Amino acid sequence: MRASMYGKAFTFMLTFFGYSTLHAMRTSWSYSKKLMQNETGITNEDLGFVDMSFLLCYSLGLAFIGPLGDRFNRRYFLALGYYTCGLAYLVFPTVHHFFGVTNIWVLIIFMSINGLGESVGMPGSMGVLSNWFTGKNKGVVVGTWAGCCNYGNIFGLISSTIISQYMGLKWQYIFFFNGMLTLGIATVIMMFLEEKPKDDFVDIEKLLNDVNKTTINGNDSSAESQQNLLKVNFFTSFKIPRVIPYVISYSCLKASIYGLLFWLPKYVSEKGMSGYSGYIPAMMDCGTFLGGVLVGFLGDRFGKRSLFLSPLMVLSCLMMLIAKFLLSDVPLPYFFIIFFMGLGLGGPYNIIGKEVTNFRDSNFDRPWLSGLPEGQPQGHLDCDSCDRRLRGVIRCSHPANARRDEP
Amino acid sequence: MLAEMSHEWIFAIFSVYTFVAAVALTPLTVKDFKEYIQTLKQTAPEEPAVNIP
Repeated sequence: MRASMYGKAFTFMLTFFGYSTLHAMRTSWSYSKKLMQNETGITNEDLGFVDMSFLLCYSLGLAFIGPLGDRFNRRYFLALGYYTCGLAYLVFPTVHHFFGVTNIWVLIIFMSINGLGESVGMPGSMGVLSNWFTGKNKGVVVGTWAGCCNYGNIFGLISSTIISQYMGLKWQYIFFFNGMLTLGIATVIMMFLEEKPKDDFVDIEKLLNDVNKTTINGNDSSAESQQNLLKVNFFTSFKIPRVIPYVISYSCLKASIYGLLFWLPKYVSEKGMSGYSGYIPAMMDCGTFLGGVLVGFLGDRFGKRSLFLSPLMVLSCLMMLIAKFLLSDVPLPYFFIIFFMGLGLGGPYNIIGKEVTNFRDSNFDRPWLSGLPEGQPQGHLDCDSCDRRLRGVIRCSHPANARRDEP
Repeated sequence: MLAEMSHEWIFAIFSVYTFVAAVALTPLTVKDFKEYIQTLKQTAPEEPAVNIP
């Protein structure tokens, strides 16, 4: 029996909008920087520390908190993370609004907690999606779902623009809106998200049949391959072809994308185009999204996806140099330049991300391999849960492992 | 350090990052390009043999 279409659609939408609110928080934060500076006198250096502490905690959370999603119910795991980051996001604007507090340490501490809370979003959502979507369509679903990052970024920028420019409210209200939205999503997740389809028992039955077959045949190939998986560790994984260039490239790409995500609205404001500080950065996400689609299409057309990676990144590089050296404070050219900048970054970013997924499907130790480029042990994130259960059952049934798996 | 720099320079900094990313993947791009050209040559229709009476 298959999971119902309604259940699948609901889960997809809930995780999609859940994760997009996290991205909306990030872009609304970067949008608010300049407004906050004008009112509180926070310096650029302070904002740099806030960003650094946020990203540091976020990456540490991905590495150490993300894998915990495998051990707990993902509904509560996700809800707890979303509640944490929503509440942490609300602290600074609240204490500033009601008590006039502008202590930068309050911002640093609670944005760090926000980073830790946000780190459960991707692992938890991917885990839930993996339970609901299996088979051939899984790649398409996850690929479509990835658009929530761009959607969230654009939503954050546009909503911030509406709140600050059209409604004339202070920067605190941008925080209030996004923080409350996250808390609302967390509540819906807590109440309605199903970690896996209720009719999942069919899979378990199939798994047990598979286990019986392997035991009867005496050919415990899965256990053997499990042993092989363990042979690759952090250091030896660098010897595998393509890992080093992908690690370097993905790190640099991610630095560029996140750097622009966090600083572009402020840059646009400081260039004297405050009225466009929401719209121009939104073009970056439009370009990133379309870049991913374009490279996917061209890759299928030519059968070689790496063919377009370097040229597109060079294109993006040129756009950045044009923005630096040729553009003045006229808004219109920025729309096109930033769009092509996103196009050049987004395509390679998505394709390398896809390659990271391929690493997960390889015969190597998945957490290390995928964790190297992604900066997070994604092998824990969206490993097919059936696969993991199968391996767990096999390990338990194997005499050599029985003692190790006893509680 | 970046925060203390003038905002004018963020594009220059990120262009360096992006350039490094491009350079790191250039060997793979070149390899794919060569393979693609090779495939094109292999799939190109061979010239029909000329029958000499």
